[in-house]
Amino acid sequence: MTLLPLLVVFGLGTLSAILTISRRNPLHSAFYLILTLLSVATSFLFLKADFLAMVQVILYAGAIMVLIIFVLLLTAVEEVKKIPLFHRQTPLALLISGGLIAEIVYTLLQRRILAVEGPPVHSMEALGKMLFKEYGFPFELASILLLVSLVATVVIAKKEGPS
Amino acid sequence: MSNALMLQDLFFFLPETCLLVTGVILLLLDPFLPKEKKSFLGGISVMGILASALATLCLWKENAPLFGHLYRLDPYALFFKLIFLGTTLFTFLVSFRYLSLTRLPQGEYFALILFATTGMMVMAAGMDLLSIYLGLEVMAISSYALVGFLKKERASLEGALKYFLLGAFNSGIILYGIALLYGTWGTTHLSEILNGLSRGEATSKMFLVGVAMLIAGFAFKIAAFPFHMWAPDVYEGSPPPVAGFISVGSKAASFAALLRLFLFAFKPLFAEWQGFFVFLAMMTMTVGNLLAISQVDLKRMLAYSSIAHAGYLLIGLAVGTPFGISGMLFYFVAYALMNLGAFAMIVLLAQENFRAESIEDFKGLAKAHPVWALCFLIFLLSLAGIPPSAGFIGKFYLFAGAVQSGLYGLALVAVLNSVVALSYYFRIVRNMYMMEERSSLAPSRSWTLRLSLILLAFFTLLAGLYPVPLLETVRQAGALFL
Repeated sequence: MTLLPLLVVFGLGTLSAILTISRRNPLHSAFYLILTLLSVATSFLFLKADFLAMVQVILYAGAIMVLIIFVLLLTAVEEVKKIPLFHRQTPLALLISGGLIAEIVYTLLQRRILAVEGPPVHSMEALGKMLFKEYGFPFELASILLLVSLVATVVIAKKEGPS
Repeated sequence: MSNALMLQDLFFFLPETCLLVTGVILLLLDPFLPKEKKSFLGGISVMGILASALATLCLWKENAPLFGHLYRLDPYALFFKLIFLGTTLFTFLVSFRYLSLTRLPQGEYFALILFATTGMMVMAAGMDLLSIYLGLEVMAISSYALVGFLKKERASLEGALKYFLLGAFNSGIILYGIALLYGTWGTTHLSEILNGLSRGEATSKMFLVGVAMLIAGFAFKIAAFPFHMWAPDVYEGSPPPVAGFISVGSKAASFAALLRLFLFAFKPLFAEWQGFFVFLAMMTMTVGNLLAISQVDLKRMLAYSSIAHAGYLLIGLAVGTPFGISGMLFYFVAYALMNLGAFAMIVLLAQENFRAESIEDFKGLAKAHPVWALCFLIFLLSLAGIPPSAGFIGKFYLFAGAVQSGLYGLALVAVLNSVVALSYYFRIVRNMYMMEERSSLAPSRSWTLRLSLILLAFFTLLAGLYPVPLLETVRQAGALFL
């Protein structure tokens, strides 16, 4: 594998991460955060961790980001724009994140990370077979659960009609 | 374990399928029906229940694993399915009057109750922690919305929110417990856990913490001490038919799962849990009864009384003998009949601007409407455990089971509690029979409501006077735990 695609993905991830914290409009930040999460998911793919990549996309880029954007839509975005981006805690934040980076670099240099032995596991395939064969019944039950939550939400959120 | 979804398994899943399909039909039909034809939906739901009951009866003698052993069709599950279907049927019959009184949206109401019933069935028949959990969640989420159905009333919304928040945390705790059990055994399947335990594999601390979390989670669902605080607020806020449905169905389903967990999967460790369940039973019945004494709101009183009844039912779990389990299963039937009846009485007397939810509202009922006062008297006698009623037989078996197993302290506390309980049940009886009529009471003329009250009272008496067939059924259903 050439290094170039990997570098592109990492670069994109870092760039969008910086954009996430430096945008004035929180909605833009949210969209850049999605880009960051997708780049992380892609780098998981490069590491042959396909399950993690899928979870990253479904949970973070999917569910959690939808939640964040919903909350943003309910808040006054225009008001938030007037709040200064940087404040007095910047030095403290720099100190903490600098420490974290130092720790990561140190660990990497020590080569203390546990290497995964053995042939690559096609975890997605195994997971899919489990879900649709052995655990087919709970999987279908989950669909009922989703339907019920949907109906319950509509009941709670619906306005009372003229009676 | 492979090929978990087989066509022939779906046939054995028919009781649940009937309810699900009916629920979906209701939701699809509801928007297209003109306002004056909405009562049509009630008829469809009752037919769905009857179809499901028919399917359950057709499968009566079956005993087979379903869906790759994740689910089980056995007399135990079928017995509980019939209890749930009966509960739902009577809830519907009572609801027709209540819905026309309050003009609540009917389609969603019936559909959510049907889905909740499906969840309960899955809980009773699940042989895997995953199936049980998903069934529990289907039941719980439907219940949250049902409690909050009276959106114009603060109490209803408050009850729904409390139920939802506590219930959500509770689901998290149960799920955490399941994860810890999975971490210990590498499986969520009850039979495999049982195999591991009977081989005497060392039980780790992680396993114990997981089991403790499961106990806490299910204790919340059955409203056992110290997780009982939600029940009064939730019952008070919810529509009376829903309160009856939740107090009976949700409790029975959680007990069904609890029994399968502790008397089947964790059976080898039973001696170690027993002391804990004895304590839980004593505390639950005592706290429930003592708090019920001072209540003036009938729904709150019934909520505390249902906490006390959870305590009596826990005796069956604490005893763990065939005798005690039979008593417990019998008591479920009795409890369903009398508790649904008591909640139906509220609906019977409720009017547009009179809610009949205080025990004062029943003053002088006997003089004006002796038949309905007699029905209520039968339910109250049964709740107090006085012969000749179903409640008496159930209590007799439970207490005798405790004595038989040498748990004299537990039996003594239970008997003392029954005496305390008399005081608050008979306050209503005194109001009905010995007080002058305060306001003009006008029982509803809805024939489904009247029919269900008469049937409930009749069955409560019948099970008390001639309990043999029911006891035989209960014995077969409990054979799983021998």
